[in-house]
Amino acid sequence: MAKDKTPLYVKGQEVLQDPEAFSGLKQDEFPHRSSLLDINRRDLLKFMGGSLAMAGLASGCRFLPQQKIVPFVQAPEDRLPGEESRYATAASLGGYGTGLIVRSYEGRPIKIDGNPGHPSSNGSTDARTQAELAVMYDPDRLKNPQVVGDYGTWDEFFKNARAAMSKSHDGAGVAILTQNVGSPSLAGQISAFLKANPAAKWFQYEPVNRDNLNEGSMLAFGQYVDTVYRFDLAEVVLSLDCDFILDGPGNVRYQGDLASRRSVDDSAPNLSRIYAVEGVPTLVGAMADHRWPVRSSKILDVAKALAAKLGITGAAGSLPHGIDDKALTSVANDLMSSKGKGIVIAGAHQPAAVHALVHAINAALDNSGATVLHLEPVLAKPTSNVSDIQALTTAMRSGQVSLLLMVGGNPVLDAPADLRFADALAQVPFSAHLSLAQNETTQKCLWQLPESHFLESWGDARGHDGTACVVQPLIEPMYDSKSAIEMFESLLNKGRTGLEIVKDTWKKNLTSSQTFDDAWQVILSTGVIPATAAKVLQLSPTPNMAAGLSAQESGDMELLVLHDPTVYDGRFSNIGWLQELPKPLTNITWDNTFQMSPATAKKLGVGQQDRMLGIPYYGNWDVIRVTANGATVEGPVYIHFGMADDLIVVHTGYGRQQAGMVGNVGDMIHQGGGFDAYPLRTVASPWLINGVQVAKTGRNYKIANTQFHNLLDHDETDSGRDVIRETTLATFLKNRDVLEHPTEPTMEVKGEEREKTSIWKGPDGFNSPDEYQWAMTIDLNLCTGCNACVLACQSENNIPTVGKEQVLRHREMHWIRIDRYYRAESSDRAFDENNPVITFQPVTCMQCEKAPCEPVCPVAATTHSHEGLNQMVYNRCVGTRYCSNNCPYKVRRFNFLLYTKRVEDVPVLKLLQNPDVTVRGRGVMEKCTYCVQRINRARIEAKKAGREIKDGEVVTACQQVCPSKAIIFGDMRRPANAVSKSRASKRNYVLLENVNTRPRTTYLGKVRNPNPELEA
Amino acid sequence: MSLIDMNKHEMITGEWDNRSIDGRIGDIVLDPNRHLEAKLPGLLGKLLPQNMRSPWFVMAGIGFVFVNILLLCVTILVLTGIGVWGNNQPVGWGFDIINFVWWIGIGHAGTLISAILLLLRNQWRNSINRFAEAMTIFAVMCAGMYPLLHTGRPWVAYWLFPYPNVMALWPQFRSPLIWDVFAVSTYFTVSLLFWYVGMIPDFATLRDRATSAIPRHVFGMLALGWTGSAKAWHRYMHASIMLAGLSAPLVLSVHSIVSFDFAMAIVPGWNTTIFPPYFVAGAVFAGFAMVIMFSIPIRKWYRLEDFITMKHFDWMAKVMLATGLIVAYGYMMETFYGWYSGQSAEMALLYNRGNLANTPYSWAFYSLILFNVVIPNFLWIPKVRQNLTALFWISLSVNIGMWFERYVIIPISLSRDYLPSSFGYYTPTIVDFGMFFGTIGFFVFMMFLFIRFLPMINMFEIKELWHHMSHHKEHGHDVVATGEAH
Repeated sequence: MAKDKTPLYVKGQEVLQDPEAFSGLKQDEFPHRSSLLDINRRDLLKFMGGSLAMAGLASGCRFLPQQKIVPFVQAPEDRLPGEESRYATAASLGGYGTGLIVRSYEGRPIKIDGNPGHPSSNGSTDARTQAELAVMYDPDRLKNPQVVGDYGTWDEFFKNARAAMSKSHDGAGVAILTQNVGSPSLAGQISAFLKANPAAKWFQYEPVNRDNLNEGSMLAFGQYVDTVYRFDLAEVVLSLDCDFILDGPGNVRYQGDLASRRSVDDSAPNLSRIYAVEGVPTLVGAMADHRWPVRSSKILDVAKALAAKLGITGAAGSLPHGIDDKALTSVANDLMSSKGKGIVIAGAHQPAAVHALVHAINAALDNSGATVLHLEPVLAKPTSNVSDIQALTTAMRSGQVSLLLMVGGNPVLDAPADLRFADALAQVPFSAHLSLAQNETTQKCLWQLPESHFLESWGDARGHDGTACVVQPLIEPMYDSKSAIEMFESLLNKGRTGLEIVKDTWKKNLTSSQTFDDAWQVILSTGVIPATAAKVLQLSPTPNMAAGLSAQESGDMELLVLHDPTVYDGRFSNIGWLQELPKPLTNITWDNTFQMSPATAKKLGVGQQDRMLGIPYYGNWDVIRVTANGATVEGPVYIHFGMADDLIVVHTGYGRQQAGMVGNVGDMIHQGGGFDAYPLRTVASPWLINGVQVAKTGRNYKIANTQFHNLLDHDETDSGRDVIRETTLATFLKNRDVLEHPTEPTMEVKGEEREKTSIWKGPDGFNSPDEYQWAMTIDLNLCTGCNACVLACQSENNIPTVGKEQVLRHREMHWIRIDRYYRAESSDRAFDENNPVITFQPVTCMQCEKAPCEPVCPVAATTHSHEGLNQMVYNRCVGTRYCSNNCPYKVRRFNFLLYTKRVEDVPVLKLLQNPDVTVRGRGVMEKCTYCVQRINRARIEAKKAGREIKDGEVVTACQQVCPSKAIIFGDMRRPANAVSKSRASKRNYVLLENVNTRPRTTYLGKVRNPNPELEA
Repeated sequence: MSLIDMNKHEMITGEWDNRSIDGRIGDIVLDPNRHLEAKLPGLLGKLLPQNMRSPWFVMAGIGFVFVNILLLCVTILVLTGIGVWGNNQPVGWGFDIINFVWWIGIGHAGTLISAILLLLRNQWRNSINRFAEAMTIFAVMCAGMYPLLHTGRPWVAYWLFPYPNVMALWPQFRSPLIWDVFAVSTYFTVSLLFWYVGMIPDFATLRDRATSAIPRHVFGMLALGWTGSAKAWHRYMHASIMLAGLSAPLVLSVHSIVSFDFAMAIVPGWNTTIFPPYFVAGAVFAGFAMVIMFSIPIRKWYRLEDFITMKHFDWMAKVMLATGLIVAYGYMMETFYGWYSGQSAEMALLYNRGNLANTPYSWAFYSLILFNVVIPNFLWIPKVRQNLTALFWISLSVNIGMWFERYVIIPISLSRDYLPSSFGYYTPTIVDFGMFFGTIGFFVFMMFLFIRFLPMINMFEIKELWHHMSHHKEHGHDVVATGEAH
């Protein structure tokens, strides 16, 4: 029977009390009557008249949908309409959890924030975690258990599964395939299952895995370890092809720690120095003071040469193209001079040898134990994912697996291509997949089981350093779904609920002076389980290990297959927020590409069709056919400045056939979808592939970037604008005023002079000292370009996604965007295409004191508040777009179409919307409001308490999520407030000072810390 | 002779003479030696609303097709949203405002001809003023459509008008768009009144000549009981002069105000003080081009050679040349100011317009220079001014050039303003083109309806001229229809 559970979104208490009776009431137009004959003539006429009148009204002039609402007869005690409640929970990716605090309104979660108490979060999250909310409200989620396309029930599934298992009493032929498991409760459930079925086997696989890291630690230490880094203590950081800002366990924490050493205090600037040697530009590379593009396969050579310079026995290497000996010597010297205060870190896709060498290097530099800590593995059972999936597939193919239970993941899509997992799966008589949403794997399974999202179910997780946190549900499961732990519980024929399972897990593990229940209450409110961090191991690497490391082979052209910066391994493909989130550095949305350096593109004779009839034109990109590992994949090229030559990088997670309405290839709504790069990965070379053949197809393809770079950045006139102010630490120490001067002549005058000469009279800053004066500063030195603020803003402010076709027309709606600039290197104003210096600049509404948008609006729909906000009145806006034309920062966004149509059409998406923020219809302008709803909420609280809003009480969404704390917001009247102090910094400057807009948002200029040895 | 010098006696009596700045103007209107041979009724017969000849069916048919395309596009637009156009984030205004400004400009010739030339007693205008005025009306209709429809929510566009409302909100009087609302609506109202008042005596003629009941009643109502009495003529002359007085400043003000939409904004390429005069000159330039373009085929199809003479074309071509040179000067000064400002954004704009090799828009700028500056300079040659084929193509070139001028000013400036990160590119859509050609179709359709149902040449003024000519001929003057012989 179809059982589509109603979401927890009830119209009245009656529903909860007696749903069956209530649905009867709802159906009946004349309730409480025994028969149709009981309706008397008067009532009938009354109803008929009313119906006619209503019909006339409804069909007349209004387009509003008709809805029936029933108020609570008896309101639940703990629910206050309009009041938010916050719950601690945790999200997991790749087996590692991040503690969260999730805001909930009237029973529905509407915003995810980081948990300040959890070491992996520190109060922030990354962009993907922000999008977990959209994952839960994804309309394409599995809603009912299904058995090959037909409706099934959980009971039926358990009955059948148990029957299948009971064929062999020890569980022989039963296999479990999970993703990497870090949750102690899930691990406990699985081991209980394995105990009950001793011959059953447990495999773990996900495409973004720790195989190389694990193998590297095995090489170096003879055991699996997790390595965590203390960037907050590091003076010198060397990143070898590693984007620890964007990916991996602890990325949010690492970003914050790194930023804490990049913040420049006027009096005592104390900057760490970052070096990056990498094949593909990363956010770390963009942040770095020195960066060298080196092919990914040659990173091993760099590591060897560095090891040799540091005196590690057995290491020797010739330096590859891209970095010279002088540079590496300087890096080595720098690392040596800050022994115990340096970090060398390598990317997860680098081979084990690199990781082993890096361990040796960190040990040689005394960093191990100080800034680099080796921990007992956090994952329940660290294994080689690729070996696991290989073993499983072999077993499946040979008919040894009669029952396969998959929890999450999508191996049909993402298992190494040469395993042909789908074929093997066809040989398994009983297969079941517990999955949030339907995907390629679910489609091929006998049973398709809906999984509960972490916001709907109990669970637990461990952070990058092992600190455990509890996953609390914020909402009843919206569909007929179960979490993994609940499913195993039922399979074992036991009856504990999710909560009981988690509690039982921690009853065993928790040592506390309090009673468990007391401790549990504290855990629930903080979200963090104390004293659960993994034990630090004192290890030293195997001596002479470096000598035995084999060299990495590399051919003429190599291909690096990475997971996508936004949609990850494909699990977020159906999430419009992440699809439309511009990928860091390239600003591509909705697609993946074959990225390569300009020289490589030239060599291959591919690029952008940038002429039409001889006229420069923003055209399509060539589509190439890439053959590697026996597979052929076609996709568009993209020239990515700063990549190493002879390297092509491609991201997985696209080309989905079964992702859903948003993520499928060429779907009608959004048109993007990219191509599937998974066929290129094999067991032998899942990341870096040699022997790549590239052929042109003659076709081309449109890529939707939110920011051009090709033609534009070559313009000789683009630099020289007063956009980014940047200096070096040495210069800044000599002259603190170096960033105060505009880079181009300005008419802006200050003080009395302004009163005489400017047409914009009035004091700078604020007009009324009795009212709050809001201001924001954004520290360019701290911004890493990670995009978390973009998604946080999208989630907080109900910003719609518009789809690829609209992005191609430059109609993306993000209220805050991360602008990426390449630094001009010479007087001819060209940037270094091979290795550009990159700066990010988050731009949102500047809330100008003399806002150019305000006087041009013909209907006064955008006005200035006494508190300095440039307000947008959606109801009044007629949509002339004049304000946007006149905005020098181009931060205004126009609803060219009814972008919220999907929200109107798909009921579950309504739940995603923040009730504090208007959902905008078509034809109106919108823009950043400094999260005015949060200001007003704080104002109400302050008024109730009869006090002023305290500093830090209003936190904007972008500020809250920023892992590096680059954004400061507050009342600038009070000199003691953080924002006032920040504005008083010598680095404080106004974007486009020469247009005299006097913005409330100001920037703190960038100070880099290049190595003086390398500057000469 | 200026307005101030106007004879007080004339003002009072309304006595109308043909005195003008140039005493010889009279003879270019009608050739006395030729026209006095002809019979007046036969001559005037040509001025009556025209029968449907085959060109009428072709032109009105084409116009009608495009009117329907326009309706279709407007329907799509209103139902779907501005997104069906090519407008985008940096480029908030595209075809909508280009076409608005272009149509407003085209309307200007009508007002200039009817108002300023009337006040200045340039009577050569008499043959062309009626349909030039009609062009104004229809062009302003086309123009007015755009500001309404380009709003994101056209159903609340009335908020731009200052009307008492429960929201207790005025429009924002600092916004140039509000000035536009006033300027354009005043312009349309005055132009319509002027056109209508100018036709009253002719409506009376049509009423009197009507052979069936319906035209008699319709024209009778439109003629407002005109009897042709001396008193009526007296009042009529006063009204004409007054309306002309009202219209004359509008010629200058409307396009100045339209140019404020740009000049008041801070967008590089918009923020220029030269815009008002250069927009007005451009408007007259485009307007005359449209009048020439329209009158050449009409004159041929309806055999109006007796009324629209080669002298007319010569004079109109000269006006076009003169205003074209002002416009060219405007381009020069715009470039100069861009450089003189010293601002990188302004410099970048010049680069963006001018660099043929590296920027995606320079073709538009060079098209503008070709169509608007290079080609009109052929009008220096008298033979070109007398060659109708050449004149037609040059006028077409001017109209295209003036359209490109707005294209260069609006989307190109917007596409790259201050922050390089937000630079964009504008590509119009099929709906943009549909609406543009749709308005052209609407214009053509309305003009041909006008030709069919209303007198396209001012009959009573021609009669008056004829009267003067015959009067002076009898008195033995060689140069007739001028005020000297009075």
